[in-house]
Amino acid sequence: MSRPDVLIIGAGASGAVAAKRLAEGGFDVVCLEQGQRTDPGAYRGAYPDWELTGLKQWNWDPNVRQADADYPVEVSESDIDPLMFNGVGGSTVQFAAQWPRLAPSDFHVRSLDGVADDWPLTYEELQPYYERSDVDFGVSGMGGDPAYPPGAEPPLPPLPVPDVANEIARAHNRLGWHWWPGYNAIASRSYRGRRPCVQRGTCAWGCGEGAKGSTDQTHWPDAERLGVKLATGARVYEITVNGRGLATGAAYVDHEGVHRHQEASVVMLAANGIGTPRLLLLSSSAHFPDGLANRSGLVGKRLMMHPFGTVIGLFDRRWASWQGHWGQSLQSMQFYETGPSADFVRGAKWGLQPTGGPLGVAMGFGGDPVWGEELQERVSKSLGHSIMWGIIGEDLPDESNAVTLDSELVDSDGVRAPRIHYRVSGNSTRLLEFHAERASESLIEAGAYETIVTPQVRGTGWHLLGTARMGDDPESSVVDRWGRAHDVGNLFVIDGSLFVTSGGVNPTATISALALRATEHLISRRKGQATP
Amino acid sequence: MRAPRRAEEAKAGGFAEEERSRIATVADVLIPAWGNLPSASTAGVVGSLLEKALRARPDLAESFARSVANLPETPTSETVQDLIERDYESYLTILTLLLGAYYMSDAVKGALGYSGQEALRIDVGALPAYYEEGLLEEVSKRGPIYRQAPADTI
Ligand SMILES: Cc1cc2nc3c(=O)[nH]c(=O)nc-3n(C[C@H](O)[C@H](O)[C@H](O)COP(=O)(O)OP(=O)(O)OC[C@H]3O[C@@H](n4cnc5c(N)ncnc54)[C@H](O)[C@@H]3O)c2cc1C
Ligand code: SF4
Repeated sequence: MSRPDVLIIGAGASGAVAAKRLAEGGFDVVCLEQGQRTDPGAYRGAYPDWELTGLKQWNWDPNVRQADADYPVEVSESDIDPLMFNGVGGSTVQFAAQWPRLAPSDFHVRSLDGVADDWPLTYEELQPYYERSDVDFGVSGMGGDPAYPPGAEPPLPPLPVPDVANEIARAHNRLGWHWWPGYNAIASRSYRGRRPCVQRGTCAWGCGEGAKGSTDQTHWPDAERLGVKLATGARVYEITVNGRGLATGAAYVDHEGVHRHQEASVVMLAANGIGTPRLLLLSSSAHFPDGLANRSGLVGKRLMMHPFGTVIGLFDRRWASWQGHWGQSLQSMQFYETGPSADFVRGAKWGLQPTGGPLGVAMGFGGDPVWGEELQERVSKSLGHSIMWGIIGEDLPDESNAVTLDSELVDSDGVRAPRIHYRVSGNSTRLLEFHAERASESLIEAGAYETIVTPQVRGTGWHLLGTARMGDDPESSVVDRWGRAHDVGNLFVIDGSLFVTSGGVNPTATISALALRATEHLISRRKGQATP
Repeated sequence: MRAPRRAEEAKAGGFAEEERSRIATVADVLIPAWGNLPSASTAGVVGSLLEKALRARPDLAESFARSVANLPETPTSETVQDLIERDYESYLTILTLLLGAYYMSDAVKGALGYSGQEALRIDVGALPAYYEEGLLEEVSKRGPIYRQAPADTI
């Protein structure tokens, strides 16, 4: 391939957003993606073995799934297992498509709560990009939410909710607590060639209907039609640089195991909060002995993964508790801000979700599987009678939570694997305990006769954030407010690594808005852009 | 201790009579009859359902065959307790496959009232109760709950 204007590494959420927008702007773009395309017909949601295959072939944990595209992640020093999907669409292939935004306060936690750092931008600056991303991803939801400043309505009306969700809404009104129809990047109506959601509830194992806004559906078809060259099975192992310290492209192993080099004028890293620092650290050179763009020493540090807890409510009434988007039917931001008498700072968003099929119930999400009469009792009580608040708590950045390179573990191409050191903080633990108690109150008020609380679950590192943070000061950040590396003028980071703080919401609406913003900045400054 | 079966044999559900009986016994310890739910063996787990489960999870075939071969002739609750303490991986393998097979049984699904994951059509004309009852207006009336940034940080 000749020298394109931009090389994007990773075809997930952020890579797809950038590829499409650059192609619309007339740029010549190549994207290298280590995984493959997935035919939606391959998903198992419509088959009786969906839960069994979900524990292996469609597991969210690359260390369990061990597919050809996956690289191992050393996690023996991590309290949370990082999760991802590697292929065209990236982790959106398996994401639950919950699509909340950060709240205005999230951009100013140092000023407001005296912790962590402020972002170098505001909610208001990001809002137009949020609104355009909503349109691109086909978001269903309802405007007027008092948890956010006013703005455009989501392009599609909310998805249906089970009747028990109405009961929970009534309960919250009695308690005076916030709730709102959930925001989901799932089409509630036919939308831009996508079929509407059929409420099968298997979103996190791939959406065979194409209703879910994974970027293989929402962005890649347009991007490729506009001329983006997407190479699959291409595992990048180094960003190459010249004597002037500018990126010249990337070295990769192709699907046949041949080592190749792709030149480019500009390189964009979209390999997620683990893949991106891994690549920057792998790309050390005489010019950049501690890893590329790492003058601040912060590459890989401040990893945030959002400790996650659940509260399940058991009800006497019966409904198909396994159906419905998985996704969120309602969202509550009641305890999102730091409370006056709380023993922790910041808060969490709650999302109301179905509780899955019988095998998942039996195996105990986040708990232990049971057997014998206890098993039969658990499944009979829960299946058809339960609903779950999923609680996403703010995860404050801590430099000791970090991605480094493991000294021994390598991937199938012999490239050094990432190693995670991550401990759940005392703030997160106290926060999740408080929220689990409140979420139990919510469900009991709605008529649950019992709640099952799992304050924190290990296998929930869905959100990989903060490992190449943005900021104005090159001493304390890796990239600037537009995602451009302080140390390498033609290298951009556009994925979840950018996050300054995690907020207490699912991040992909923000990742996508930030990627769109960074890409448009690059387009607008194309004349002055340094190239090798 | 018995020699482990070859994975392909297990994959095809090719268990000898004696092993099938051992699988059925451990299956009933793990998944007994309860209320209107049949026991694993009554549901026909040890047969085409187990084969289906093994086809879905070929990665487990070998360890399942080995784990079953290592069980005593007549597994009991104590066997399971012992397995959990001594060899948790084997316990998980056996439990996962047998439960996976059990929940694919039509009789079990019928008893649970579980119809499987169905494709439903969204009724575009139906308004949610929260909307019709004006529940959202009550939320709106309580006013904004987001915190604005302090003016000097913007
Ligand atoms: C099960 C699950 C459920 C989730 N649910 C939600 C949700 O409901 N809401 C939400 O907001 N978020 C959710 N997420 C998270 C969401 O998927 C991610 O935030 C989002 O996809 C991250 O976008 P990204 O661009 O940073 O990286 P990704 O989408 O992860 O894409 C990175 C891509 O880079 C590729 N790559 C990495 N390294 C290399 C390399 N060396 N060479 C070539 N290619 C490489 C990978 O293969 C991958 O395709 C979920 C994630 C999972 C796994
Ligand atoms: S519930 Fe909707 S979004 Fe989820 S997998 Fe089914 S059709 Fe797709």
